[in-house]
Amino acid sequence: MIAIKNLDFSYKNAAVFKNISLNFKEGNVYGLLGENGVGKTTLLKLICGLQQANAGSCTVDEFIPSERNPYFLQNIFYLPEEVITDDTTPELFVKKLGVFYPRYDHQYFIDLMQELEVDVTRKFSALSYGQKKKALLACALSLRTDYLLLDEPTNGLDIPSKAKFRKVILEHSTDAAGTDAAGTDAANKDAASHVPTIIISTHQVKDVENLIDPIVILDHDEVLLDATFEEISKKLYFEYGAEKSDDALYSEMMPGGYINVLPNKFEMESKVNVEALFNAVRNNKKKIREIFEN
Amino acid sequence: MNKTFDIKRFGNIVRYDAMSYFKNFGWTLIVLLALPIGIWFLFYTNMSTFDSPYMHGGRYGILKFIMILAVILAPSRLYKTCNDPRRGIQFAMLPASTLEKFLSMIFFCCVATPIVYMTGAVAIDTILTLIPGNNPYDGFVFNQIFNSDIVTIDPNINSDAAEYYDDITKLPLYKFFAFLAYVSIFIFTNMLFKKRKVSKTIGILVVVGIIAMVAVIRFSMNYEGFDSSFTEEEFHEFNMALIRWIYYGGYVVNVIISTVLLYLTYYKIRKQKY
Repeated sequence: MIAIKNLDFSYKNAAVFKNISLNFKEGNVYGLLGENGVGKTTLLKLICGLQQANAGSCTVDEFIPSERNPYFLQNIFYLPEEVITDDTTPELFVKKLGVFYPRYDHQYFIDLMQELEVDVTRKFSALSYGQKKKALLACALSLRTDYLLLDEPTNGLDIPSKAKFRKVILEHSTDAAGTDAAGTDAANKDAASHVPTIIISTHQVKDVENLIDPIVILDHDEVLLDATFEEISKKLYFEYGAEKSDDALYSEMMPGGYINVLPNKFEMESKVNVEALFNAVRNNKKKIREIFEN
Repeated sequence: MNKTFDIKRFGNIVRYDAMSYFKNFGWTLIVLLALPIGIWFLFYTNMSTFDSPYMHGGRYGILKFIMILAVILAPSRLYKTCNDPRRGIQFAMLPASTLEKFLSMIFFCCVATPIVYMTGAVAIDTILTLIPGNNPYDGFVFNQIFNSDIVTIDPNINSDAAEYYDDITKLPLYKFFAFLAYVSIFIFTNMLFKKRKVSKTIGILVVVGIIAMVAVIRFSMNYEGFDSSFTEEEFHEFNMALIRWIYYGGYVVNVIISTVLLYLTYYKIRKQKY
């Protein structure tokens, strides 16, 4: 589990987080949402030890990330937003990395590359930006680490690639791909039974809809929301109607009418719309906090 | 398994660094290996101006000098990105301990690079020596390898110095620290600076050199003041003491520079933020 307690962080004099506390539990696909510049990347960097908190603590399975213990590092992989690769083929690249990761599964990498339609033998320099991103995603998933941190993974992907991204992440998180790739030896059985914790940081909320649960929404130096879809649908009602509601925390025009986000006073069931939720939270910080604290 | 050092993990990081060695440093090595060919060609085209063939001892000195250049350039070529906020993330996140990453860095900069360069350079020199006809080279350079220092202090420069040279080179790991001091400066500044690593380091060394030179000149001016009161014997003794002080002082400085800068490099790898 990733446990963040009373964490403060700032770049020189610019405060990024003030006294934030968060827990990321095993086996979930977390959506880390927020506007540009609220500290999504910084939070990922704190979790993987590339930055160190000024005060408070951040621990991952009892490891202190900033100590960069090799046993901690072999169980976490951070895929930055920017595509940075060696001038080599994706296959050589992942083989070079794979020796460090005890659950690395080469066959799974090949399967993912086929699924994502990227040529394993072509050099990174010969691949398009989107193909590079997909190749790096396949590398990251095939290492089968306990924690996978993806920073804006859908940036630069075309529409079919975004759909494939959702599919492979969903399979990976529910371990369907692992089961397919599983061999007969103990290591592969271990890989197949392994369910990772994935944190996807993005400001493009539509790209990760139906994929993430729970959702963490960050604002400047604080956490606005940290809740599962179940908790959200208990507290908020997403009404799709012909008219704008006066009681709505947030309303948005959409084809055929409006989507209204309302406090769920009558415990009615509704489908959470992540984009509307994000805007509702952003525009009603105090009110949302009151609703979720009760 | 140990979190600080594990031989399997160290093997993995050495393998990882080895796989990018020639990709990152290949062209620099090719250019440096071409220099002896250029020098041979220069001798070949100007053979009439030389009375005797260019002997292997002098050539070996040139190869050693170019090897030092290779070693100076190695950290900035092999580990250029490891303190870069974006490109250095891969290095930081590699599942190996700081000590293993540091030792691999030292191995490739201080051990592998001199061996790779000297092997290539001696092989090229041997081929050049074997060229039949009017060859400016005489004798194989590899004869010198096991009879020479990695870093030479020429005892012929000063006959007084020669008297101490043999004793001083018997100091524990004298040559090793003299060599390491050169390299550790460039290894440390490679972690310190993000851009123009070698030129900034050379700039700093030039400034330090100028300051040292000014200090020596000022000392010499004072020295001349009391020089006249010395007898010839006293002057010789004073001179010898000064040389001894310079050599022993140099040894101590080399040990301190190597130890401090290598520790700071280790510390910088450990604490580097991205």
